[in-house]
Amino acid sequence: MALKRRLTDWRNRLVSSAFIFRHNRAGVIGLVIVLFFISMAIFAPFIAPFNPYERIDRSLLPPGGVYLLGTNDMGQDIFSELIWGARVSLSIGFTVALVVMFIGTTVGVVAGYTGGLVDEVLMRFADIILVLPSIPLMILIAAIMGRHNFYVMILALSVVGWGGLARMVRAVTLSLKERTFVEAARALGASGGHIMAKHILPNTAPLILSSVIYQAVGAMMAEAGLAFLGLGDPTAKSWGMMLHYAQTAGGWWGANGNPMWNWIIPPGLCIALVVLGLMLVGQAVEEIVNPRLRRRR
Amino acid sequence: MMEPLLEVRNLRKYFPVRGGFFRSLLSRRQMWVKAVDDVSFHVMPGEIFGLAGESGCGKTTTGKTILKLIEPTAGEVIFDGTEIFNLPPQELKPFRRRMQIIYQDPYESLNPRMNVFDIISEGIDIHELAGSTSEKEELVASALEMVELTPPEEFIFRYPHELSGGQRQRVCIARALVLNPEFIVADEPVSMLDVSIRASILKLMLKWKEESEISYLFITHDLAVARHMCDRIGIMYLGKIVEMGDIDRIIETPRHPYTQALMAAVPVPDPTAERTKVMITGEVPTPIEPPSGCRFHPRCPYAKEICKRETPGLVEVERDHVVACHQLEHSIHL
Ligand SMILES: Nc1ncnc2c1ncn2[C@@H]1O[C@H](COP(=O)(O)OP(=O)(O)OP(=O)(O)O)[C@@H](O)[C@H]1O
Ligand code: SF4
Ligand SMILES: [Mg+2]
Repeated sequence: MALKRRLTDWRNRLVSSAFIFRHNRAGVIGLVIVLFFISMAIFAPFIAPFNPYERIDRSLLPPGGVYLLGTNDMGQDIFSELIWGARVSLSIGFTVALVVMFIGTTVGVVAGYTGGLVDEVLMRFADIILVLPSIPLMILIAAIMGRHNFYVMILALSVVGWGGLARMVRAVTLSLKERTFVEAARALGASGGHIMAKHILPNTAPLILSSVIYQAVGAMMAEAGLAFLGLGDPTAKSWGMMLHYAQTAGGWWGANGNPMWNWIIPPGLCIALVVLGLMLVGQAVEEIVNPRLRRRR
Repeated sequence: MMEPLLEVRNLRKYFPVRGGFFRSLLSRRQMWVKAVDDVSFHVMPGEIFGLAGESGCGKTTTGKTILKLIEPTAGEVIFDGTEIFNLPPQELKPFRRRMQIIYQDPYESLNPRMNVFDIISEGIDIHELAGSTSEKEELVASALEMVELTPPEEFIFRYPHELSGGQRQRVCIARALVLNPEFIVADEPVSMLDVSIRASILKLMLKWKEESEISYLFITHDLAVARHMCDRIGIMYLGKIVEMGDIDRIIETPRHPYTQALMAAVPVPDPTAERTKVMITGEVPTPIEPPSGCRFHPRCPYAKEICKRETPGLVEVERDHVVACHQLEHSIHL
């Protein structure tokens, strides 16, 4: 019985959150966009007509016909590249967001709750991460790790990302720590670990959720930027990587002086749309978790 | 002679004052808020000891420091024969079960993300008081019944925001009671509640005192409530106990000018009764840099030279009645 009550309880909360979300039109649009690209990433093998890594025809064919967006300089189908690109770009974005969430939250809660020397040391690290310019740092990490690959990319993006979240979570932890219910838990005999896990963390969760969405946005933009600069994983075609190849192969000015719009617009547009969609969802989530932001309508 | 359950000896709690930037330029001296300054008292088993005084006199700080929820500056607390301030955390833990607290504000003292069942069972888990889930459910249900939140199934899955103030406070009390404590610090447990529900909660507390021999440190600023609840009382002024002893003697024959002033502010049940009218004027001085000598002297109608120079100690004026005042003659003939 107990479990059932608990489940309905959760369902009620979910339903009421969904209700608020539904009434935020921008949030719904954002969610539709994001879900569209997520399904694109998941079902890429079924949607894409060709293997994007395979040479299938002459290079630089114009759009239309079998090749919806034409072919690139290697004779690969641009439309298929675009579909598979969703996979690479989104998985980098979400993986980085999860890693950042894990590191940032742990560091923030531990530093804030423990205080003293631990706090001092952890926050100095966070500050170092925050003040170092992130693009050069990522380039440096990628260089030290040797080859440019997918996982190095994720690592580099995560390392530069956690500082801000850690600071924010720490600030919230500091104020939660002073709340009477935390003192009440100490009076019950709870240990520090128990208090952090049961009382502090759940109360930072709403804040973390929206910030993780923004982290994903940041990671995807950074990935696109790095890839465009040629620092991405050449074997995993993300949208940024497509733009990079388009640029190095001369697609930006074209054979006869006209830029190859069919090659450069689609990946750029995809990046912009995903970022827009995530931002809209992020704002809607913020409104749910922070009722003060809720607009009266 | 029975041993006291709790003995507080020379308890002090000084908070450092974080002076502003300019003040720190002017003076290097660290300033302190002497919230609790050399307080000693004891609580017998099954006794309710009251602590009363104006806002800011250090009642809450005393209660929390005794439980080591605030780190003490100096002093000792002996609970059932053991000094608890110097215990390492693992050895302090069993005392956390035996000594509990009920807060003033039921809106702040419950985690908004936990339901009633989780709130009450938390202590059971921490101290491993239940062998099985069903035993745990029984303990929670019986704690809810004790605080008259019945039937328990009605309440266990509610969140704090789904409860009224009085219900929240009952949940807070159940959270403490489920541990089967011997001593509870009750910090103005009803002052934020609706007048209509105060009496029922106070009645329950008295019932547990009788039935389960629970002792309380009952903090209040309401002397009428104190008289109803307490066996003995300490009157605090700026971090010090100025008068202490049997509640009836102190209410009927207060000897300290400050206590007399407090009494004058309480409605008298019998309007024809003779009472000394001592009116005090002025604000409570801050416990930062409290007045020298007797801390009450700037507001005391009987203050003399000596009061500014020397701090009066607690002197026994009759059995179980001590007072800290240099000019006791003024209050002898009531
Ligand atoms: N954490 C703290 N830091 C600095 N000063 C504090 C702190 N806690 C309490 N004080 C000060 O100590 C003094 C005593 O406070 P305390 O809360 O114990 O008073 P109280 O008697 O419980 O008052 P009230 O009736 O308003 O609850 C006050 O002057 C208060 O400002
Ligand atoms: S010691 Fe002096 S100032 Fe203090 S209460 Fe007694 S008479 Fe008043
Ligand atoms: Mg108080």
